[in-house]
Amino acid sequence: MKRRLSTLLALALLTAAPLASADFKRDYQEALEAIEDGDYGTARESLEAAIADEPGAKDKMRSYGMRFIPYVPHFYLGEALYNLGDCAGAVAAYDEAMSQGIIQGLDEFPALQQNRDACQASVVDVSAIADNASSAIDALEVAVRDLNALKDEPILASEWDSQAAWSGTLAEAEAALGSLRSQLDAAVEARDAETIENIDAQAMALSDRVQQTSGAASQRVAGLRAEEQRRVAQAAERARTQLASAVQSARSAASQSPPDAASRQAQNELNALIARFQQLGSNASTAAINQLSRELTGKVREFRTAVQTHENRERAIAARTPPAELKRIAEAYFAGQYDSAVQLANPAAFSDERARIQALLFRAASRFKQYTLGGAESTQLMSQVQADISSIKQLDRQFTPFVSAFPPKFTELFNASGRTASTAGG
Amino acid sequence: MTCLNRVALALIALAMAVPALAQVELPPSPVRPDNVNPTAPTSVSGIPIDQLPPGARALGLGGAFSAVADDATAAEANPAGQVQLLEPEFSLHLRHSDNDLDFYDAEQRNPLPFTGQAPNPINNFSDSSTNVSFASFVYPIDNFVVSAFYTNNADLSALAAPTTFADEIFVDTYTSRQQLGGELDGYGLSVAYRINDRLSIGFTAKRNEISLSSFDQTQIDNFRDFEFIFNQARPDISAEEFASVINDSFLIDSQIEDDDSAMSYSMGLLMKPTDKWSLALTYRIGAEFDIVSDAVFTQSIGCVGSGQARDVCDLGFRGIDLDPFNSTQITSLPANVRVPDVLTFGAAWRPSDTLLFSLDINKTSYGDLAQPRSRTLGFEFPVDGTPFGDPPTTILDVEPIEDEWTINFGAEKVFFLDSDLFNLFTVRAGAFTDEDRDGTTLLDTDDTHITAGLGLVLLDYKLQIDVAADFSDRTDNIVLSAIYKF
Repeated sequence: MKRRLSTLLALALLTAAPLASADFKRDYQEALEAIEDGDYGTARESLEAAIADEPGAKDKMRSYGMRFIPYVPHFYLGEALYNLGDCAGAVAAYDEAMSQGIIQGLDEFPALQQNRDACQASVVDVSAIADNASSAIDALEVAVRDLNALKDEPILASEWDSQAAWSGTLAEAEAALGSLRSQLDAAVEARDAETIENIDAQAMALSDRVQQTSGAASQRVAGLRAEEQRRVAQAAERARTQLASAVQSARSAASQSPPDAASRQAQNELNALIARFQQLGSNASTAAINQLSRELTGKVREFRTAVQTHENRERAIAARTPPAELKRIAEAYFAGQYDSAVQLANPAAFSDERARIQALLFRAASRFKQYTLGGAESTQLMSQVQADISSIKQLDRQFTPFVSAFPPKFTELFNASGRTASTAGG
Repeated sequence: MTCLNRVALALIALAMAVPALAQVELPPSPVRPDNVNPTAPTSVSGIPIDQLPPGARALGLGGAFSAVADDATAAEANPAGQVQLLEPEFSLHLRHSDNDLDFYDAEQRNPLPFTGQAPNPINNFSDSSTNVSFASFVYPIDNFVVSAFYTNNADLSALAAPTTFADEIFVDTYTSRQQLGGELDGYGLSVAYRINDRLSIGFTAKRNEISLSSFDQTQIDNFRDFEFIFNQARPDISAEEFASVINDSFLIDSQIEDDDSAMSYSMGLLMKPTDKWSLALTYRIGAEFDIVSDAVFTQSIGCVGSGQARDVCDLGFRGIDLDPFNSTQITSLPANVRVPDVLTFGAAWRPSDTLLFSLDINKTSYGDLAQPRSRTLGFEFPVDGTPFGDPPTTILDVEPIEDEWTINFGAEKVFFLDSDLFNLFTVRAGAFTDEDRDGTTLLDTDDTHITAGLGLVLLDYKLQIDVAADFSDRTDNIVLSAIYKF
């Protein structure tokens, strides 16, 4: 039995727990006790809770047992607010109590009338000043929105970070916006004219500051934009001047005769760029102009470098003279003195590579002549010839003997181990 | 059966009587010896215990108060209900009871095996009493409520009319006497806690004091038939005349003169799923008392009166000497008296603030108590009159006592008064059932109680005065209550 009872009790507790909710009768009773004790704050809270659950007044409400009391929560809310100094709230509560029609028949009605009359004189119509305050908050909201738009201007991004005052004003205004709105709602509910006026003043002052900040920021944006426009115009002018100079240099270069293939190639490309210039419209961007200028300048430099390179090479060739020992080897070879040429041709005696190659070439050619003149029987000579050719190709794989200066069979032998001889030579 | 055989048989039976009492069971009652106690008088079982919640308001509602329990009587009705009280309250309740209690007197079955006849075994206790039935003080402290109370659940002192059966054949006289007296007082403390606005719990502990003064006597005179022996000596004097001067008496007196105290507990749960409904669950654990019962067996012999018969009596005859002789044998045995546990489910519905319907369903654990006795005190005969010596295979008069389901319900209507002094008055009506638990088939004590009540609230709801009456075949109660709110 006891276990079953425990189970029943537990089940009942669990069943009842979700049902837990406010009891307006108890709230009301607690409020009356609080009023008796002078605890009007608690009374207000309890009465608001009771009204939320049961707003309608009753002539007689069973409190408990056989105790019946009038249920006039708005009257007692008025009493609590009256004693808390909230006259506006008290008048509103009294009015609601009277509109419900029960309080007029109760002993408490004279007290209501007395307190209400006392409050009425001090209560002002807050709707007008509430509208003003609301408008001020609206204006502040617009000002904040405008300032936020300016903050988002890219041209002002770097400037904004350095303006601590602007950021501070915006942050303060944004924080105040929400709080002022809720304060205004509460003050209107409480009919607190003084607070509403304070809110109005705060909103207007803050709105002025935000607007001033917006004005300063707007001016700065305008200045930055004008400066930027000037910079762009100057850059465009500078680009066109540079382009004109480049075109002039290009045309000058294009009028010259290219001395070699490289300069000719550069000149052709230069002409193509000049053609692009001629097609360039007046609306061409500064970037396009600068790009064409850079290409023209570069190509003119390339053409001139090619011409200069060619001229330098020609001058070097003209200034170059073979060593005297090599001349003697050549003279001995071309004089048919092959033994002398072989003896003179000591490649190790030449520090210059090209001279060493020529020495090896003349010695190989001289030994080949000795070989052919000896009936092409000396394998030793042929081995020596091939050794010299091999040494030459080790020094310069691209080297080919000048065909008209050496016997064809020698040239064939030389090429047999390399590429076909060209007209170029040593 | 010859006269001598009958006497011999009876003497053997009487010689065994006292020890045999130890096997006697007792009939049931709201309060009665619980164990198989031979010495407790039969009539102890008949003490009417007031199991209803105290107070006129509760009585007016037919005792259906567990889910209402919103006044200073809640400590007994449902301790959880006390949390509804928001102000201190004092209450005082007076009860006037008229008891007209038929009971089954098994001792009147004693002559049946010898004579084939016996008087009607149904006797009656009648008593009226007026007393303070309940007083309480309740003090709310935030979500807690504490209370202290006094209660009187029984107050009866009744002497049943003695029944005498004269056996004209054997000139024997069987006399049965019963007295029923008992008082049950309680002093309790209760606490309740409001878990939330919809749920509360409560607990009550009560010290109960019981005082019992009862006896159950059976007396058999002239059973040994000396009057017939003397009549043989002096036929001119009738056996009846000899019987009048011969004191030949057996008296078996089972009596209780004792008191005891014991704790009882009750716990309650009150739920308010909505503002209009409340539900209750309570469980009361009844007190259990240890008492001492005395079985007194007295036999006496002698001569009384005057005249010729007396002279013969004094002289004696055939060796029969009736010199005065008295012997008394007293046996004291422990007994146990219990108040049964009660489980109650309650519901109350308020369609409006001025109208209330309430219902309680109770399960009372009478089945946990001892079953009715089936033998007489005198000769340990089966109470249905089965002849001595025959095994009592069928106990026709005895029926078992089982757990009892009862229903209480009631209604209350409030009427407001436009008066500076009187605030409102209430009208209440209710009913409840009472099942048959007398332990015998010869009595049909199940009953339906009709209750009605009126209430008056005055002095700006400070004072509440209620009166209610309960009418039934066995008991009429009138309760007058006053509750004062501070």
